[in-house]
Amino acid sequence: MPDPAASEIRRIALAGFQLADGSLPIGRFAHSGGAERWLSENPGASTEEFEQAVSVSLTEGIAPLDGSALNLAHRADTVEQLRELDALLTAHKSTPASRVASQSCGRQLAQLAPRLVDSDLVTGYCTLIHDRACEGNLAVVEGAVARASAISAEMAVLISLRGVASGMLSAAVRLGRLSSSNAQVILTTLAPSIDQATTIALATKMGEWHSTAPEMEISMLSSGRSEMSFFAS
Amino acid sequence: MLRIGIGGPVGSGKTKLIEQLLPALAEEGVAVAVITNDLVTREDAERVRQSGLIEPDRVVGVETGACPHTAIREDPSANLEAIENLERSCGPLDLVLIESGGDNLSATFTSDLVDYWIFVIDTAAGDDIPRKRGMGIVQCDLLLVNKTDLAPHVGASLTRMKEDLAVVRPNRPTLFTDLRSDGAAQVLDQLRRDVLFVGRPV
Ligand SMILES: Nc1nc2c(ncn2[C@@H]2O[C@H](COP(=O)(O)OP(=O)(O)OP(=O)(O)O)[C@@H](O)[C@H]2O)c(=O)[nH]1
Ligand SMILES: [Mg+2]
Repeated sequence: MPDPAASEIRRIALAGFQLADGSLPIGRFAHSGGAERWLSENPGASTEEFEQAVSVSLTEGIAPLDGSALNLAHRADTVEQLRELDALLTAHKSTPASRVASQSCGRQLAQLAPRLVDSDLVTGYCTLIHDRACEGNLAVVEGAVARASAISAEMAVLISLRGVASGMLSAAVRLGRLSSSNAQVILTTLAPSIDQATTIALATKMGEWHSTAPEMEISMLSSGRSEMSFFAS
Repeated sequence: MLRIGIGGPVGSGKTKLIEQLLPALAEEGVAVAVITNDLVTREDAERVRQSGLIEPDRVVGVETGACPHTAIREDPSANLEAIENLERSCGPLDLVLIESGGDNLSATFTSDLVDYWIFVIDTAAGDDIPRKRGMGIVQCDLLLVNKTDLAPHVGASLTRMKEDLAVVRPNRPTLFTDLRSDGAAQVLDQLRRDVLFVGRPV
């Protein structure tokens, strides 16, 4: 006997895997959340130090801002609410690099999203982004898309934060600073940090938004624009 | 708008090709913009920008996170965004040339990004390159075997390359060029035949 409930759970899981998939073509590879810059500024950093920087960036930089925005976007019922969150998130992004990364990836997801989910809310919001009536920050688009796919807010935040961690580790692999197998081990070691960051994201209210991952933020500030412009493969 | 990709290994002559094509295209009145996908810096974008061959704001360097092959194949979104931005800032364009940072023989362009693509190899890198059947060489719309002027100096046999290419890409065009002399004129002729100015009085 087919079990419709189990089938639905699998369908939602598949939608979640797709959002998390590194092959989703939204330009994530070109943005490492400050990791590339940090690595170049810390040529002698140990694996443990890098792992620590990633962890701090998740819990103090990403979670209380983008993570929370994603959670709230998941709860938004109208295009207007999404647009407001989007504008507010832009205003809270303190560096040009973090704005560029968030918006260029978000705009690309917004282009793809109407073909992935069937939702008037998502289509309406993505149209605004396309028409440049909103900026299209990734966290807000992700939140709207996740909800339309029936992925829970908690799971959507978890997927996104795990994606950020994985992107930072991939940057280190590309730069030859970390082996790909070690990156996987570190991703496992980071599980408690990702979990903690998810809790923070879910608990942070709009009025409490902040982003203070000191080390990676400083790296992004000093670069002025997008954080990675001088790395060889 | 037509989008043409230009790929090929490091130093084979991709930027040189762009530099040679730009004046000829300007003469034809083609509204053109250039996107480069640099590995490390914005070296190529700067070079084209400062060449005086094109208005500087029509040249964009895309950041590839040290992954130019990803940016032209698996995830062209950064390039697609650059095209969109160029069209918004420069008005309607007839042609965008997209150079991929020098990469390996298997770099290919996705059809999500380009309508036509050129792969440039260098005779001085060895006359056995065609036999290696890199995806770039096999699949590109137009192959340039460039730096023919250097072939005698490095002992590369153009005859052997021609024979091998007849086997490796039997039905697609290949040009043997010296881009420091009149190679670009051949390329423009081929583009005219294949894609450029289609339906337009020339
Ligand atoms: N002798 C000779 N030199 C050439 C020819 N075409 C290009 N070059 C030279 O080869 C060098 C590399 O050319 P580029 O156009 O910069 O090569 P590229 O493919 O853009 O290189 P990357 O962007 O670094 O991958 C330059 O010094 C060119 O002047 C040619 O047909 N003959
Ligand atoms: Mg070049």
